[in-house]
Amino acid sequence: MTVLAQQLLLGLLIGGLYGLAAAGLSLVFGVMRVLNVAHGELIMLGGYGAFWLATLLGVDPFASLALVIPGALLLGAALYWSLFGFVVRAPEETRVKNSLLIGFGLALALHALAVRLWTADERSIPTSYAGAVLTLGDVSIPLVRLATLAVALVLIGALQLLLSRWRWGKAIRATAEDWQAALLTGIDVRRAYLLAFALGTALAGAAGALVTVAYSVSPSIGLEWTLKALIVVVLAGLGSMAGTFVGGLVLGVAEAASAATFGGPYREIVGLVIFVIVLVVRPRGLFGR
Amino acid sequence: MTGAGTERRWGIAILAALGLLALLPLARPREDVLNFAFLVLLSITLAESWNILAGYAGQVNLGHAAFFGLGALVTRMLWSAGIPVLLAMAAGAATATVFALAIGAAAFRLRGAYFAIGTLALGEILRTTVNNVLPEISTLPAGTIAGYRLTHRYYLALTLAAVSVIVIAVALLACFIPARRATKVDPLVALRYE
Repeated sequence: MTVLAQQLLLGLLIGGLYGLAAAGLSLVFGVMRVLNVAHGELIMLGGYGAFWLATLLGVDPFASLALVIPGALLLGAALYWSLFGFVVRAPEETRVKNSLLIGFGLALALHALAVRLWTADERSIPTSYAGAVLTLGDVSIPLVRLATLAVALVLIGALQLLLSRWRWGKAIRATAEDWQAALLTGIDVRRAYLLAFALGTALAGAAGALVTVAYSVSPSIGLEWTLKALIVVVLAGLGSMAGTFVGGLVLGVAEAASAATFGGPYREIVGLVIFVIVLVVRPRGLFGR
Repeated sequence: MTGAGTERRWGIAILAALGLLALLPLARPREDVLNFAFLVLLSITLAESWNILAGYAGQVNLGHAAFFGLGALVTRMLWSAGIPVLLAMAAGAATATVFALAIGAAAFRLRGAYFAIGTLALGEILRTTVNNVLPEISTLPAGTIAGYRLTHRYYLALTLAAVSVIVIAVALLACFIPARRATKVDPLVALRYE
């Protein structure tokens, strides 16, 4: 019983990162109708950003978020100007297809780049507090992972606030709902796209930094994280950042429960099967609007 | 499609290229060159197979690798059990077809982006399952590798590539020619056949 509780708790903790990873993808997909399959690679880059800051400059991984997030924001803007900005000019039916092709190409390129720059080894950021544990009865909570969950929650909250209060946040939501109507009311739809993509990339970068401090990063984690993010996006549906976060937690716990029941190797499959079922039965997602 | 002339020139160019490729092993190229050409031919077949759904039906299938893998899996299992390789390959293709019918029934409830990510997930499910259940599956016994003749495989791949290109070209022409003939009647009527 204790073992199960422990596993479910660890599942919940990684679920926060699933939610954060999915939030960025959900934002981009919801607003631009563009499916960025290189989202996992952007997470990977964020992870290596934090890794470099920690090993070369000795920056604390949590403090490095203050640099990783703006860096990812700029990277997102650069990617929008160089690649995805061209995709959104296409009519909506061809957008997804073109973005898939571009995304796959980008994913391959970033993967190769990461192998070049950081080798194929698994990297993690060792910290002085890595072993710290909070004990609650028989269950122990690794503090670093708890902190990543908290940071993820704060970031999602901040995004929610941006989208509901900020002028351009409202513009982004309007564009997501109906870009033609948004255009008619005088919203600069292109700029809304750019902001949504940059914000999505920033969230991916933050998620990557957190993944690297709590777990590890290697050039090949991209597809895995893209899939997790996709699962959560489909599970939660578009349109609600809080729903996406909850969806991430649900996936984390479901994976942990299935790993406890069927054994570790099958945790991935259970997530994917849930995904396919939700996709076929309720494509809007659990919290979709 | 621009016209019958272009179509014919393309057809002749493709046939000529296939003819040249058929002569390649006679020039006794280096093993790795032949292997490279073999992989190119396989890619042609694969691209044609993907194109049927993505190019002509407009549905992006990201789980296509699952069918490729399933064919390889069944072929390898039957082949190493002693069944002639051609029969094993046919069985692999048949298994992939049956599986595709089952997957298609579920996946075609989805459209566009959701079809793409749904098939991506299905492919991943199969990959993870096979990796877990049959961890040694991507290796071959040493004896089988020693008896491997690349030239035979090359011709097999060439035939496959040629057949898939020709079949699809014929299928396209079979739609295109009646449509063009119909344009003589009335453009509006013809549009319905395009």
